[in-house]
Amino acid sequence: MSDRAEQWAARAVDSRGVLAAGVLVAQKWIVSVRRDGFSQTRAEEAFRRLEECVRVLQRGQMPVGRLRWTFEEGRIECIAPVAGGQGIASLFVSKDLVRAETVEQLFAEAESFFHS
Amino acid sequence: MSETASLKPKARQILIIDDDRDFAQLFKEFLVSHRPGAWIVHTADYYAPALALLKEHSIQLIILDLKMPVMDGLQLLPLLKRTHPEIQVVVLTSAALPENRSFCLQNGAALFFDKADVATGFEKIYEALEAVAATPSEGFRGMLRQVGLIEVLQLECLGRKSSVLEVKGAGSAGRIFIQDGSILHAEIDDQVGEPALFRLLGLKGGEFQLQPYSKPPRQTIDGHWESLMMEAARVNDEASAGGPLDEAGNVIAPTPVQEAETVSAQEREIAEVIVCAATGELLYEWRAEKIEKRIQLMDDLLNRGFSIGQVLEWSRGERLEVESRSGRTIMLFQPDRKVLIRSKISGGGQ
Repeated sequence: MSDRAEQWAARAVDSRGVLAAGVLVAQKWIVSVRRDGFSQTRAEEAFRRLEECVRVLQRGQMPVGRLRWTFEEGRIECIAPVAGGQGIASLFVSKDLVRAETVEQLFAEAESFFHS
Repeated sequence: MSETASLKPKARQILIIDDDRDFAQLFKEFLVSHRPGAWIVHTADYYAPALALLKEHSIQLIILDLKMPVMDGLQLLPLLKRTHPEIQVVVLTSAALPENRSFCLQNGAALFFDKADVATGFEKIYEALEAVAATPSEGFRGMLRQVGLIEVLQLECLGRKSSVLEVKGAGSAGRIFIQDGSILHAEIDDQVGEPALFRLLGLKGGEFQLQPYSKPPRQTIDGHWESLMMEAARVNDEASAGGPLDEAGNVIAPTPVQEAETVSAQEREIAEVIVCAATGELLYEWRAEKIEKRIQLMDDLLNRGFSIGQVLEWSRGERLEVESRSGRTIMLFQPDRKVLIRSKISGGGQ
């Protein structure tokens, strides 16, 4: 599954408007970043902080299936298809460039390897 | 400490909360004599008798000093707006510092005056006080001064109100007609229907005002308000990204994905609404349970969003949508407000 996650993340950042892609598998983030986007370190740190938010929401009795967090300069798209937030796939995207269809397609692919 | 002389049926009840008894008495005498019978004036020199008077009388307007013992006006104002959101509050203080003014107006004060400017002539503020006292400030309508256009529209729809929202901005003026919580019609310039609604909701700046309901010229909108506003948010996001608005500003037909989301949105129903100030004071709630925990959760997520924003150099998180099989929660983090709207799938729970 890690291989598929790595392939997915690498392919995701080749998509227009996707700045970073991360998958949480077995308590570890697999992260790919666009060459002209964030550094690997910054992206990993942001994905870890996002993971904490998913857990905070769950503790607040708001289970996360899908999360969309809009910032002034970008947006976080996230799915947590595995119960308990043990599996997460997320994209940091440019609001101006990314297409909704691209995000949906990438998450459909991510769901398939989480459930395989 | 009440003046009930010269009562007339429509006399308005005003409460002056000020520990300077001489000033309060002077102001009371002015109000009683300036327009006899127009006001029933109560005074209190600190918060405890003030709260007691609020229980006993149907007060329409509070004049609040800031410098007071035990609980000062800056502490009392949010409490008053939380416990008596229907009452208008005007701050009249000698501590008219910019930060106090800003805090008071952000926390629900209708007006803010410097005592030094009015002590020599209360006439200067009399008309303003009458106008404020005559302005309805109850329920959803009381939020009008404090939240944005989208939130006002949401609250009107949630409360199944009937009204007309007049919107002015960017050199244009438009109207949104709401009947029993359903958006029936929107118009701006020569546009009508959903394109007009989306354009109105996307206006940057400007002003808006709630007017009594009147029948629209025709019905041009027929959709659930929540899905309409989500669609408006998406359309405006895409418009700012050069997305699917045509050259005339009209909305291009939605993609199959958008249509599917709209259909699913129609099956949702609002389960809970919370609006609180940046300071955490509850301003409005509707069917909310565990309010304190919800506010704590919003605070926590606001801070975590800020922390993620710092890492990514994305400033702050403005809007958080969380969706699960049972429903969806939208949190709006505005500089002076936090809003939570939770919807659930009809027949489902959280």
